[in-house]
Amino acid sequence: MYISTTFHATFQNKTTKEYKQLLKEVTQKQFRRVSKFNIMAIYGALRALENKQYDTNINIYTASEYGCIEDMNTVLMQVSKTDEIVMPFDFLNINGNNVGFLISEALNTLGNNFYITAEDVSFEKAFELAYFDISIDKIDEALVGAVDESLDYIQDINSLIKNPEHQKTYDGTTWFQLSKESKNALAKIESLETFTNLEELNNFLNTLQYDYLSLNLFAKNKLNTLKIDPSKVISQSEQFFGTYSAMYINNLLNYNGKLLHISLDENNRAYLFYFTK
Amino acid sequence: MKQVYITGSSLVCALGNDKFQSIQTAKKIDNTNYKDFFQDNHNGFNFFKINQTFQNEKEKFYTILKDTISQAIEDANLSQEEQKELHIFIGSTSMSISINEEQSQLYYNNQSTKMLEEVGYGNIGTFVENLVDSKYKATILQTACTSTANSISYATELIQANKIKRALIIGLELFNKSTYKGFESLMLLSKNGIYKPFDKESDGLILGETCSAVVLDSAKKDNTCFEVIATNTSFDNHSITGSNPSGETTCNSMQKALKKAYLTPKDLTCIKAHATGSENSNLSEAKALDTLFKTYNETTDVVILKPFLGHTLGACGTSEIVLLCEFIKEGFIPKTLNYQNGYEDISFKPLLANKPVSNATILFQFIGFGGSNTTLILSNKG
Repeated sequence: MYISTTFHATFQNKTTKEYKQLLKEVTQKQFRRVSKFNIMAIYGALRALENKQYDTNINIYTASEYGCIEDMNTVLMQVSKTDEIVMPFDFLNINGNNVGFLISEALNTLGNNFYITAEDVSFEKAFELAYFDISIDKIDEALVGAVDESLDYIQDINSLIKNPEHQKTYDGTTWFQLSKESKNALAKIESLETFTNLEELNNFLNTLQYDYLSLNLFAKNKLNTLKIDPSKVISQSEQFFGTYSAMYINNLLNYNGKLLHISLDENNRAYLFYFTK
Repeated sequence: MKQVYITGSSLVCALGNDKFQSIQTAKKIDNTNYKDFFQDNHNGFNFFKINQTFQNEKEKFYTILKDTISQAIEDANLSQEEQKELHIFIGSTSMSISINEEQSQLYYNNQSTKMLEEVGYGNIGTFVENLVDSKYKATILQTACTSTANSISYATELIQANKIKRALIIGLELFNKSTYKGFESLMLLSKNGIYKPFDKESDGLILGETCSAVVLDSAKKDNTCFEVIATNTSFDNHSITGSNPSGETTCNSMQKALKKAYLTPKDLTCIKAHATGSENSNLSEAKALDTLFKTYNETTDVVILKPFLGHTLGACGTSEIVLLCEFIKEGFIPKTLNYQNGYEDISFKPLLANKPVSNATILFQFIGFGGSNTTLILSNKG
């Protein structure tokens, strides 16, 4: 299995209007009354597959830690006032799964869409499902995205989210096209392994050779416990968004050789991605 | 390829606080006493409400979730070691928004400086992981009203492929103003309070709250267990809120699932239709079923469950599967409540009287906003 192409962008808390301007660079389709979250996702997905070939039946897996927070706050404000009406588009915008329909519409695809969350490892879980679907020949291609909004405007946000280093939060949209097709591939996915504890992970790490290594923030905190060569750990962006590990993997793919990414959740469950490039 | 069975289940809903109470209540409902059971039972809303009282939304959410999971695990008779091998899937459209609604109301009324109680829904998965002591990370899957059906489909495929041993799929939809008012603004809610899907006089759907769960396992517990024998998911790109009026995607999804199971409609005991009650969805699905029967030149009974439970949205996969399987264990498939007049150009009528069965092969159809169509075929005939 291969990664055919990727796209990544982070921005400092742009407005929906600003994203719509960006979207005009990649599509003439109009997306009216669509939330910031959905526009960010559509923009990233379109940019990932811009001028690229893709299967009409490509499945779309959108991962998010926090979802459509800005528009959810609008709806929460509306329902907090007894007589306020919830507008249909506001309601539809907070249904996370609708993002897949909108991306399909933008890309003219007919595959299935899934919206996935798994605390600390939402992107990893979405990637895992896409990887599984391709591996059992259910589909030939998948588009896996990681989308999260900046949350800095929410008071005391770090008491509500897991932002281990209390970094400033950004808008982030990162996308990967996975395919069985090796031609013009960016990297080969050698394996995707999951482990339920550090001991299992370390046993596996002892068997692996790699040139560069990327760690999510929970794994970075376990640097001294992991059986890895610290000199091979690449430095990562200090920008943070909910599904930031997608950005880390995208960055890792700028290197050549045997590439490893490790994500841990708070309870040391591990995802290990092994690429060659 | 491994076989996959439902070895445990639970249902908390407007009918009762467990599946046994729910089925006994459901057996007593008919067209004459329908309104007595369900009319206006949620502070003036037409809504199917869980009949329990709590101090606040957070207590309600986590208590019902915990009770439902405990019941399913007890039903599956899982040891503590076996629980650790549970891969958790949670399907819902609204997740815990009711908790944030309560907090934001305090915030906007200047009774709290905290705007939100929770950001994101991953913590629900972590709660369940800790509750059952699972070794694995929970997956929260949102595909609108097919969320739990798709979760069952995924878990089934993972077990079949020997990637996981067993799974716990939880469907959860509790009352919240955002969803209620959202459906109201889309003009999809019934005003007369009589839920009558597939009836041409239907004036909309009635939402319901539920928490329901199934345990999937490759090891069969006993002969009453239903096996998941085929699944299929298809995408309808017609509209974000409406199905293609032709019913094409829904029909194709059912056909693909039948083909995977090497079955035709005559082999089925019944089809459990999604049957939401909204005009577009009703017509599209009725047309899909009509086309299916004409394509095969065969029919089977069509069963509709939402008048018993309300439309439980993302949780309807688990709630309707548990309810129908329990009906069958009681020895019959249930009549369609409130149905009087069908559409002129549709040749079938849903089942109008309880029909005795000792075991069954059922095609479950689910359809969601965002174009998702999911078909599951379950059987306990093997």
